[in-house]
Amino acid sequence: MPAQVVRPLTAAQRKTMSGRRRATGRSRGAVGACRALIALPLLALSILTCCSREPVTEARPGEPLPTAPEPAMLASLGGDHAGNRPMSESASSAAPGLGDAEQIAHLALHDISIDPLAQCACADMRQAGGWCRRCGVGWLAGIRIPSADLYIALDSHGHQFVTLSVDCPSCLDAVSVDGHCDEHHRGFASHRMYTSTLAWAVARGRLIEPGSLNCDRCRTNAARCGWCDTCAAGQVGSLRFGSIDVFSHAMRERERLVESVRTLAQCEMCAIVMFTDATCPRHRPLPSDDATRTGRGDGPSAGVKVTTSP
Amino acid sequence: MRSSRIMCLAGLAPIAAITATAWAGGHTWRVNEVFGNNDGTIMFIELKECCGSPNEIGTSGAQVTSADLGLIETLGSLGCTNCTANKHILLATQAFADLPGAPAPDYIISPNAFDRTGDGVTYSFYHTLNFGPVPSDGVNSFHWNGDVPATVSIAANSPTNFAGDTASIAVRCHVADTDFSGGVDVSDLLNLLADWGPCGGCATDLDGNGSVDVSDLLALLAGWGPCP
Repeated sequence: MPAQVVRPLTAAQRKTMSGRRRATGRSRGAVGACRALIALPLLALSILTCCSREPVTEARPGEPLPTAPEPAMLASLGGDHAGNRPMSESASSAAPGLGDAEQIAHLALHDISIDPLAQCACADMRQAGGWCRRCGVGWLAGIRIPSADLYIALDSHGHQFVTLSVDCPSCLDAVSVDGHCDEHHRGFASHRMYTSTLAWAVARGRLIEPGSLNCDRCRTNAARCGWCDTCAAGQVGSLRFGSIDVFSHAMRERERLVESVRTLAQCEMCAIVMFTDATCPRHRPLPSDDATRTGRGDGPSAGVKVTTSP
Repeated sequence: MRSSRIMCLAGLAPIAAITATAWAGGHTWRVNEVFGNNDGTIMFIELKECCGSPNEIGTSGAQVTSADLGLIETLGSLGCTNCTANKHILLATQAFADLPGAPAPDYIISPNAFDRTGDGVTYSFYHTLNFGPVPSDGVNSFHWNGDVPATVSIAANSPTNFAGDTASIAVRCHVADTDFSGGVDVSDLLNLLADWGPCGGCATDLDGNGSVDVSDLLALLAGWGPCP
């Protein structure tokens, strides 16, 4: 919780409150408590208004909430998890062209806070993809994602990377053609790296306004997904693809996302690891899915123990 | 009265607007290496940023877990920006940290944090390294081969911390296991016999009296066999 400052009531407020107390006969203690309940949130709201656009690094539920980083703090954050040796700060190294502004943007893209007072953005996010802070749900490829962890894991915004730091020849080839490195399970599009095949698939589409489409078939496809032979283009929601192979891949990934969202009801981790390189600790081996999906984390290591949850 | 009550309830709404949710970022860290000695007192887990991404700094709140034993550690902030490309994070036990020359861990974990007989160590929900019984020779560790699905290979340990400090450690499973074979056997006996006599600082001087003699031989014989 951010620190709260209590400001004293104005004279007019006190007079008004006093009048009400006389009229209603409330006890002094009850009215005092009510004053505090009114004043504190109003103050908090004013603070929130100023600070709500700051990117916040949130803790997992149950974990202590870290301080929201401000631009000036980002470069000076020190220490780490309580009780452990502080991380060395000597490792800072500036990558070319990247600074605090990039970092702030990165955090903003991953802002998945919930704010019941915010406006619902689901209509926009359903088309463009993103997180609705009012409803606490994410959207990707037109699919509603009611899990923040799953939404984050999908890595929809991708990553910057430094080409000189990429030491895999296959990855470097993939960078040049917006392709995918099957060995390391990374996709590249427009010089950004994506660690989930779904995000990579979506990134290769072009976001368009369905209303701007002249073709009736394409407008229909924008609502229901599909390929138009006339225009030689496919729509996955508002994402337009000019290649049938890329479109087909995006459709397959979209279907996997649908299956993943269904799996949330049984096990959130199982739903998440469908798109990452982890293994659900409670349900090993992973539930079956597309055989081409790599990264299940349960590779053929010698003597792997297989456990299943009760 | 009613209006005051309504105002009280309305005033609570802004407080309810602030809610902690999931953490963000830190996608490309991977479980890169795991090591454990024969009794689990000296262990380390090394994470590595896999992909040359410089801003994977959203590690605050990320958990490193054992499939068999549960939570190992919750990571904190890295305290830097543009600093993560191909970097490492080292989690290790205090006994590891106490080894002369060992790189200082970034996090101290409990002994036997993961199951040495076989386990799966996971970074958040991004990467799991599954492995069988950890090499108990005190030298070798499991290294992720960098592939997907993850496979491991056995090689000499090479723990590296975030600052880039690295060193290879050698932990004998028994004081008489002078060749780090994971047990006391003929080769250790031959080593001892070869050093017989005054031999200050010799590894075969098991009691540290400056000489390899009968007492050292008896200690070796008492530990004969594979380490538990």
